[in-house]
Amino acid sequence: MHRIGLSLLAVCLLVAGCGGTASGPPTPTIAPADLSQRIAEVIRQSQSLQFLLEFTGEPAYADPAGLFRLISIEGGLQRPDQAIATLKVRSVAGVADVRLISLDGQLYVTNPVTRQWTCVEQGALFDPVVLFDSSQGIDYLIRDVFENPTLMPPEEIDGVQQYHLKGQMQGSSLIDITYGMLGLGLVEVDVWANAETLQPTRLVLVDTGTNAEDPTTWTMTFSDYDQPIDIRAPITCE
Amino acid sequence: MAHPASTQATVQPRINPWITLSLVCIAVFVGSVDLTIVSAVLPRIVTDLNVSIDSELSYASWIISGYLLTYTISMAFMGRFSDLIGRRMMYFVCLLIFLLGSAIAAIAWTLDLVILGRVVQALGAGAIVPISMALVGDLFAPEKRAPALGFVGAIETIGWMVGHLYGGVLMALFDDWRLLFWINIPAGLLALGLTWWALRDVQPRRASGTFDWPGALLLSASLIALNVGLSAGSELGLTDFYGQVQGLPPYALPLVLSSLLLFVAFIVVEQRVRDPLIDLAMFRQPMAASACLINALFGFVLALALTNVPLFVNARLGLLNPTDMTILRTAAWDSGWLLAALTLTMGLLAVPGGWLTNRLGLRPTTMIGLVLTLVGFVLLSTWQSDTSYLMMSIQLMITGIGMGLVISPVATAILQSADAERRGSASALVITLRLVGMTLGVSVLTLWGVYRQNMLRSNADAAAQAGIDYALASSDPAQFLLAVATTVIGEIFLAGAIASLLALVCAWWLRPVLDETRGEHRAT
Repeated sequence: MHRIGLSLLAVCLLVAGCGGTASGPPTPTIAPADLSQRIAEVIRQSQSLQFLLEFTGEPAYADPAGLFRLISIEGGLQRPDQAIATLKVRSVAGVADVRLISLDGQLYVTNPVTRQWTCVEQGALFDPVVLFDSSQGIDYLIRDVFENPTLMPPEEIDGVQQYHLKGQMQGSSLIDITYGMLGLGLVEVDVWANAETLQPTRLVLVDTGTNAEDPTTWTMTFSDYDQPIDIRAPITCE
Repeated sequence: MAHPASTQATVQPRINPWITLSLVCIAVFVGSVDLTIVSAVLPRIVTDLNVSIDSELSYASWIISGYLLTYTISMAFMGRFSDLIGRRMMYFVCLLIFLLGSAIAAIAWTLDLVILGRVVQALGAGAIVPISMALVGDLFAPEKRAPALGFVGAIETIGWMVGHLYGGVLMALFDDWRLLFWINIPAGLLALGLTWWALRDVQPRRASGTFDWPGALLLSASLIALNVGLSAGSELGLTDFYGQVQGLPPYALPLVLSSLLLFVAFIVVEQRVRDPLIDLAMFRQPMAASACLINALFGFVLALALTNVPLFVNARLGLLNPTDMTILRTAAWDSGWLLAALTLTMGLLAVPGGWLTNRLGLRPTTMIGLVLTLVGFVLLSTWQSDTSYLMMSIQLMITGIGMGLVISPVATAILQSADAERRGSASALVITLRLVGMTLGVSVLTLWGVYRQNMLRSNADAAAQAGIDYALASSDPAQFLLAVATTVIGEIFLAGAIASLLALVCAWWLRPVLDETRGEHRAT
């Protein structure tokens, strides 16, 4: 009986082992450059997504005087031109939230002091909608600016198999989309995408031109593709 | 509560029991220092961990209230555990828990982890006080236990009195709040070694009677429900993404009501069990009941001062020096020494408070102290953005003198209201009630403070009613935010004055009671 048990265990382990191999990431049969094109196309086709953009390393400031340091931006993007986000901003007095909505070409932002909604002209602030812009957003960057993509060994993030592409982008290509917060030098890029859907899950941009020891780093995490997002105007602008 | 053994001490010491107790009290001191150590550096912790003052401030207050609450609950349980598994082993386990909590807090990279570390810390630290009180029963004969219990209580009090100053000094020197927790590791290990050595010959004896498990569980559940419910109340003024006020979280009111029901159940249980956690018969004496209430109110106003002063200092320095990246370090140091004006004065005046109690009696001494406390809090409520440190120190010292004078008569009233066999429990009750008051103080402060500052910042009418020029919000945001902070902090200090007034009313019942069995006044 004992031997039968051991034999069954061995068979189970063998089957599990085989199963593991069988359910691993599919070996891509396309070149890394083609894979990046397909990933970019998946983003272009996506109607909405949730994102978290975290700023680490050499500080990125939200104002010219350098008093308000950006910590993170978290929210959602929806085509054609809608965004909802909360910016976490740090000053000497503490960390504050700034809420932002971008809708039909109009930008709404809460006053960090009074928390009242105000209307802001396009271009006055970093607008997350730009991340979905086909002419300068994420899909454009991965499709047209991503240089020398190399496919790294497959990885698992949160239990999901991922492709990992590594490469660079010229800093000058990122200045506009990042409001000048990135692009001082060559930018090292890492992209992870769901191995089955090719939806990007993470994008890391490291600006090597900022600080050699602690470079400015943007880590973008994407999730909840194609889920509807409630975005509406908080006030009426005159 | 801890029950010191009620009969003969059973230790066969090779060393003087006072030396043993002193060595053990190092652990008591280390644990109680952490009650207040973070008050001066809380703003720095919150900023370093990117905790938003707009949406997460009420949650951050759990760094303080989580420690206070767990410390209080641990005090209720752990003395009895030490009867079961032995004092030496219990000290060992509790100090290890404290060290583990310190390590978690020191390496924490999120607010959740800091709070978890603090709760684990308090679970160990809170236990050390009742075990030490129970140890007094092992070490000392009944007639010598009162001063020994007083010694444990005094060390615990000195610990939290100097905690914020110690925190401020360490921050000023090293500019690293994590060090406050790391430094517990060598200190705790030293205390562990000394305690292990000091207790090598001590044979614990089981206290007579049984442990009131239902009472302890009901009281703990009631305290937890009340604090979580009150803390949730601070979200009253929070809005959804679009600015619509959301109102109270659905669980807030049920939790507060549950806490009341649990407390009623606790009272019922205490009347029925043979060895109650708290001897309710004591509360039938007006003097004891009023002393207990005064003691809880004392904890309440103490918590208001200990948290409000650093908030004021940080708000003022941070808003007026927005480009000075070292300002939080300066604020921690300034908060530490400013609070010392309150707590060290309080500590120094506790001794004359005892003398005055002997000369004037319980009621006059307590009332003098509470009048000064009341005056002090009214003065503190007048702080403005340009109030000098000298003036703040003087006003804090007046408050400290008043509070210091109250310590001795109130403790004396509670202790002398208890039967001789239950004086150990009464000693623990003095500390526990003060901690309950402190925990409630932090919760109420958070509730009112977060709600009120949300209101004043977002509502021009409310700001105008409070005398704040709303136009400053756009013309001089720093001055506007400072005006809001000053107003809210002033209102909270006024709440401290009201609590002092309530305590003053209670003090009327601190009258000597004729002990019919002995034909003398039991407490004068």
